[in-house]
Amino acid sequence: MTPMEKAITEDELHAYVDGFLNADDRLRVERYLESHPEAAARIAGWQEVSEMLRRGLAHKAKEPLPSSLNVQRLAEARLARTWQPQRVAAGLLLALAIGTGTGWFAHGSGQQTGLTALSQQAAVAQRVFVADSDQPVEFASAGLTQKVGWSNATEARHVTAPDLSEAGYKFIGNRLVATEQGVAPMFIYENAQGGRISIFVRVMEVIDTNAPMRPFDSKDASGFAWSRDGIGFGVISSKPEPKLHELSNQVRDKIEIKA
Amino acid sequence: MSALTKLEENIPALRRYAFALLRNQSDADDLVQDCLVRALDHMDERTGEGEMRPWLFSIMHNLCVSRWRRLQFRSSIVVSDAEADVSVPASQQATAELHAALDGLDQLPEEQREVLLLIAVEGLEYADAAKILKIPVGTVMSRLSRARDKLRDTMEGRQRPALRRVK
Repeated sequence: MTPMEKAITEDELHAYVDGFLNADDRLRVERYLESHPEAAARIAGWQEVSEMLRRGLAHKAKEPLPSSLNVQRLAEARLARTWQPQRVAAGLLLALAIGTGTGWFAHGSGQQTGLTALSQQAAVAQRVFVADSDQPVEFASAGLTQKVGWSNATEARHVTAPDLSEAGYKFIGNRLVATEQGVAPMFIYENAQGGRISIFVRVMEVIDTNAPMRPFDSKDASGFAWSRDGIGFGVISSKPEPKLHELSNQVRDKIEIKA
Repeated sequence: MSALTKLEENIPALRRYAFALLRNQSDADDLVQDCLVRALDHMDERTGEGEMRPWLFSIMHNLCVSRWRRLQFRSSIVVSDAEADVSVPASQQATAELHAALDGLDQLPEEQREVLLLIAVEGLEYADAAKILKIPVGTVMSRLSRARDKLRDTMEGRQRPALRRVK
């Protein structure tokens, strides 16, 4: 055994497996392993163990995150927590809304908030108003610009939905949906095969006011939801539409919000 | 990069770690949420004091320890069927691989499990793992050796039962 080999410690063997050695030390360890098959077998086993654990648990790290772990939302909830009067008021409002039964959607959305709630509202509205294409088209075509939110609220704004005809979808009409956040317009589009998608828009309060796009899936419909400057958007299709993500990106880039 | 973005980037790893230790997705997610809330509470006090990743894992470790203390006896936490906890439809192979990893971890005492996960799966450095677990680096290394040798034996035994080495 050369003096060099004597210097190899068990810690270095670990560091070799974990990739923490510099090039020189790595070479030293490799040379040592060449002449020590027992140690080499042990190291190979350690490497297999790491690989087995990493591969198995990698599936966990790839799962979509639940909305309860949305950092933006947790940060906002934290601000709300430190500001008691508002919190109490919000709680009262919610209790009233549920208590007086004004909120069909309040029941439907359960405890969910933010984009998750928006996604559910959008999916249900899609099912009720849009999905069944046998139903005669009875949408008032009020145009691509619609008011969002409560009329008397200072934050009520107008959105202008984009023209999607280049993507194969013709605008066929509107629906207005009543939500706790005021009026939520839907813009409905149809393609040549009779497939319908809709854009659902409503005011976002406190939570998810600026959230990146994320997919959603419910038993009624699937789509994509996101928000910007306190307005939330959902693009929904009841039937599988491979272009839906692309369409949603187009909508996000082209839709306009005005005071 | 904003602190929130950095925090966000670490969530999948925190979830993986919590799941590997708790074996129950909703418990794991509760723990991760606690961890994020704590991180948000103390974010301001933490300016320029090293990497965020080891810091988050040390919060996570503290939460796990207090959880175990609260539950008193670890053995009472029934190791739930991992399959039931795979919240997205996983392929058969993915499920099998996950089970293999969890079965492996089952062979180890809690203290070795944590060391091995932090180093082999999460890629943390030995000194960081020592700080996170509040133990000397020497202890980290010896636990690492025991954990790796134990799992290596198990894997070999599984592959070649006839040649199983008796230690």
